[in-house]
Amino acid sequence: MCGRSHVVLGALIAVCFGSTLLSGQNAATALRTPWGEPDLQGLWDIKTITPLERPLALGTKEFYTEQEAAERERLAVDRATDEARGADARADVAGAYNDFWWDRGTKDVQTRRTSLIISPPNGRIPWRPEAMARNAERARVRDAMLDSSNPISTWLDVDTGERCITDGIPWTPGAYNNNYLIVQSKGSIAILHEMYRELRVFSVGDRHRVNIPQWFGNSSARWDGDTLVVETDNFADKSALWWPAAWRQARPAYKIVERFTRANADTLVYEFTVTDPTLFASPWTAQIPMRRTDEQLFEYACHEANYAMPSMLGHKTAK
Amino acid sequence: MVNRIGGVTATAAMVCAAVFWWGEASPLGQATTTYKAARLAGRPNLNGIWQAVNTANWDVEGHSARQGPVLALGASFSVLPGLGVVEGGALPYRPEALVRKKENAQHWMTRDPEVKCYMPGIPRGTYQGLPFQIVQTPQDVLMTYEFANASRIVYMNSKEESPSAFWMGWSRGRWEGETLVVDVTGFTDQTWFDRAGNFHSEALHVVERYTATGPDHLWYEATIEDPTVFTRPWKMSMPLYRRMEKNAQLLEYICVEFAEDLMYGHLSKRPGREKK
Repeated sequence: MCGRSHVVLGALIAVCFGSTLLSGQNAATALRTPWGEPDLQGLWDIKTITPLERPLALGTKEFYTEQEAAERERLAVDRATDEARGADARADVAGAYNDFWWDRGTKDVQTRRTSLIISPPNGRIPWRPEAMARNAERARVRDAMLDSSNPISTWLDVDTGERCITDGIPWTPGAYNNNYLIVQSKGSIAILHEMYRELRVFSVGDRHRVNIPQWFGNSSARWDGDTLVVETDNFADKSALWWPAAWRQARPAYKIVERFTRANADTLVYEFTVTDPTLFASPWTAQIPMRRTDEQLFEYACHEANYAMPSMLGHKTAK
Repeated sequence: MVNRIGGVTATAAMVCAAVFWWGEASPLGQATTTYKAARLAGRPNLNGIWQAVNTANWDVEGHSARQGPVLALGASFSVLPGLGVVEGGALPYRPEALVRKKENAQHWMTRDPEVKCYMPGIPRGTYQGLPFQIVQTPQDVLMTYEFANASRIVYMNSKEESPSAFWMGWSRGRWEGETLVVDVTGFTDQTWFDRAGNFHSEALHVVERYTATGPDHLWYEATIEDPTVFTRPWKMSMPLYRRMEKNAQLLEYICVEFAEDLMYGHLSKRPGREKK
């Protein structure tokens, strides 16, 4: 395959050396399935220390300098130790596990961007003021509950992630299980996320929309040039539940558009745009590099081994 | 394929012979190799959404209808009868294992992992009564089940032994002519074969065979080997049917939320269904 033509050879060289996101677009044309679709297949890892939102203190600073990123990565390595402890007893206990369990990554994204959100320009979720106020009120209620003598009265007091259901979509880097397996067959693409073993199968080009509200909504997928575009709406209304992050709770007004582009042999660019006029003043977009990994993805039997749930429900408050 | 060794007449004769033999010798049927499936990278293309249409999830052995566990649901949710999918009659339990099987059956509702929304394991996922999807690529095969969002990767031509125990097992696949053969090891002892308490140990070894017998049918066989529970290997087999709806797709059956009250209700300090 490599020897077929100079064009292919050139493309491979570009694949090998194309390093910044999307710079390998032309090279990507060489990465195709036998039936001619862009080849997105592989096991991909999205772990990074770059946060979804830019820290407020950074203001308009869009990129870290090389030195700043190096220092952040040095600190991340320092933190990634079994000896790390929470600031106080409560934080330590809330941390739940020592570092053996975490796999957060120690690197910023290659662009050294200060947030995964690329739009709006301030790198922050554009919450509507009333939604922000509601978030604050929910947080106050939750903190009061967790500080009370009966912090967890039912399983519904626990968030959807701790219930082993989902953190919601679209996907963002998490504390562990950041692996995504993509397999492709003619006309369909399946993405298996190690976390909660979330699996989404897209039928490409066919609008297989059904009018059935679901936790993961209803998706339709199509190719836009070499980019796989997945539009999802018709989410079930699960907004009464506690979610790890309020912005991606399943609710009817929620719409997301995800774009997957093979940038080069080792990178897939995952970009999503989120729309919900009831929560956000404008749509917003994040971009996350998915890096090819040689690790393996394993079965995550979360609910099957959720011993934490009965422990939390059966707890006696520590004096 | 058959044409290569003879004419149309010979082909027809062989097909008839095969059908006749199938009908005579094996009441459960058997995959005929006369059908040649459409190809994907030179192999039979098994992509699609498939479903068993039987009541093996109630009991892999033949069984009559009986009263269901919830009296209030009467005829709607009683146990449906079934011919059984096991070849050669009763499961060959070791005597002590048979005792446990009977206890399992007696305490089915508290012991069956399905009730708690646990992953079904293999082969149960195949005939649980919900569809499953095969996403086949030239390299590997992904099988995904509607129940509990279970899935497994079938590593093709892999020599890697199972690195751990898994609810859905550790699957390695190979092609034998028209048949996808999946060798599954690395099980937990937590899954069952059905709601009748048929069980296995961690020593379970399943060899599955998927063969297309027509564009919309697969013949499924699973050979079960578990020397700590059974005196000899045994086999189950059944047809699988393609879901033909134009918009056929796996839907969500995120059953965790249907099992929580059952599993945690006794620990709750206020009713769980209360809306916040």
